[in-house]
Amino acid sequence: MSLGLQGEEVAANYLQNKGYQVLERNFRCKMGEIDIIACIDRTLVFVEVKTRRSLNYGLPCEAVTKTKKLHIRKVAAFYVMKNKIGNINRRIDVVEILYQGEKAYIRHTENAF
Amino acid sequence: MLSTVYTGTLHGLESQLVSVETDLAPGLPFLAMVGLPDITVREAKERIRSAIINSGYMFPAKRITVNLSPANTKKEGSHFDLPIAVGLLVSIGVIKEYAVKDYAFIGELSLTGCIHRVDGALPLVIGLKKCGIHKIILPADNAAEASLVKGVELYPAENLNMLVEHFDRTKEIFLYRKRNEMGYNKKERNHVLDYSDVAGQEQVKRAVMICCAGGHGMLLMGPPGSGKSMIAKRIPTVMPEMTYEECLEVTKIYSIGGRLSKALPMITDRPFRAPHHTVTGAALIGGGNKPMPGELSLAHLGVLFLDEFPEFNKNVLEMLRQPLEDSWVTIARSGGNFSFPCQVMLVAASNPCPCGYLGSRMHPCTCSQSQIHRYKSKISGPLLDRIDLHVPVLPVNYTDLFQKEKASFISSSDMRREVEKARKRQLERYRKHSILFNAQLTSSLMKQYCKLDEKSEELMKSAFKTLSLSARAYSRVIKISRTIADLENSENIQPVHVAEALSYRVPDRNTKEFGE
Repeated sequence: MSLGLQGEEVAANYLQNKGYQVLERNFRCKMGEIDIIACIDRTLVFVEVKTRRSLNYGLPCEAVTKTKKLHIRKVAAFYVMKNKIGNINRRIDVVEILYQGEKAYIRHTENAF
Repeated sequence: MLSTVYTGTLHGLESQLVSVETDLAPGLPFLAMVGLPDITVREAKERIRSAIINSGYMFPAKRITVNLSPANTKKEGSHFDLPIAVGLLVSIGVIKEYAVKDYAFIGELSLTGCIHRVDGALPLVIGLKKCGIHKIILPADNAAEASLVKGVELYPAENLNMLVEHFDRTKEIFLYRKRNEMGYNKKERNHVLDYSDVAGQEQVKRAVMICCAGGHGMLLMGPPGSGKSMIAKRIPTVMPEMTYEECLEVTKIYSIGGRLSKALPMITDRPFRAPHHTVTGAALIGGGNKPMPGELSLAHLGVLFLDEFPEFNKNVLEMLRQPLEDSWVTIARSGGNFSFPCQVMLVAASNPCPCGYLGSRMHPCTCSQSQIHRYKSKISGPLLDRIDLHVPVLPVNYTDLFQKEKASFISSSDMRREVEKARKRQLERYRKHSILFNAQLTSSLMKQYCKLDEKSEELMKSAFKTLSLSARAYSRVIKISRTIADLENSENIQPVHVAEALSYRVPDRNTKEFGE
């Protein structure tokens, strides 16, 4: 299993433990992909997961670039339209996972952008 | 955490207090800068990040918002690097907020964390002082320049680490003190050029003395090789020393123009600017997207020498009209008006015709009438009218050039003594008014201080008709007479002074009768 998939697995478990209901994993359309779509307290949450083994290239969240944000926004809008979701709050979160040997550090930024 | 530190922003010569507010909020790492920063200020982001990391501190991986308040004025210049970096260091707790609250910061950062010199430090410090800030952290290379301002504490910093130690009180930065308290003009003037090098030409030297004593402009006209440029270049050696206030004012302009360096931190000698005749309007008057002082303002309180006067672009010369009259250049932009002072002594040099020998008895002129006409028409009447003294420069004769001793010619120091005496008289006379010398006299002051006796009145009356003087030329002649009277140590203007003054306004006299 690749590092990215491993990280997404960890993130999904983490969110479920926090009480989120995971609706979709790796939702794809031609505009791009969203790693996890979850729901909590009548809020639809789109989650981008970033996984890293070291900090040599900066924090995981620093890899969420302008274009990446744009893609996520577009896919999220598409998902909302496709499923005809109406009056419900939405937000975009980032979950960072940093592997240090066997340990994994997780940081969850709500409403990241 | 939220923090506030202070700095300034420049608008022409004026500066305004700016508070830099830095807020850290949870979120994806991002630095947003608001408050109309220009491109240099926006680029500061990258320099600050590297400088903070390379100085050994953490750059916060948070959502950072930097606000430059007041938010409606444009912020320009690289001096915003330091205050923004300090704001960040206060926000992450490296520096305590109470420690910086009395300070203002200016400085540019390098990626290593070193603080580099900036342009416009002097006007910024003056502005900050006016806003009630008396402790200023600035680049070490700007300290000498800023020390012209009295009553502020200057802390020259070399890098970010030094600053942090200063506010930690582990190792404080020493207050900047001038090595020599009167350093701005105590050094003896040592000019390479001297008027004793100029052979003969005593009547031109006399005119130079009048100009320097009263702050009048002059036009030197003569054939090639008669020494026009040589005479003009020596004018600063005759002018009186600059006072502290004058140094401050001139240094301010040079500071904004980015013409000061570590080797030349302040201007203590009168400026002498001699732009080439290909100069553009923006370079002469001042201008640019962000208006900068031009040659005219750089010559403030000194000499603007325009050699080969008719070779200048006509439009460029015409731009001089209004600034010469008002002693201020105002550049209008959609973002506001920018004013720079330009109290200059205009010295122009010209040949009488394209070949240069019109009117010479020694040398035939080879120009056609139309050539001469075209050459003369390049300088407009209104502009000539604004130049007080028109001085013919005759060719030097053999005896003057080779047979007389150098010591027999009047030297700069002799001339300066006379000029300073005349200036002193004027300063005493105009003590109650806001002017310094005769050229600045307004018409109401002229009535008060330039009374003509009956004979002089008579002389002026006939000259006005025969020389067809304009109203402006008339008042200029009277101002020149006042200066001549001052040079002659005379309380009142006498007919002989008026006569000499009139001799400098006779149109085309030189073209008829110069040459031996």
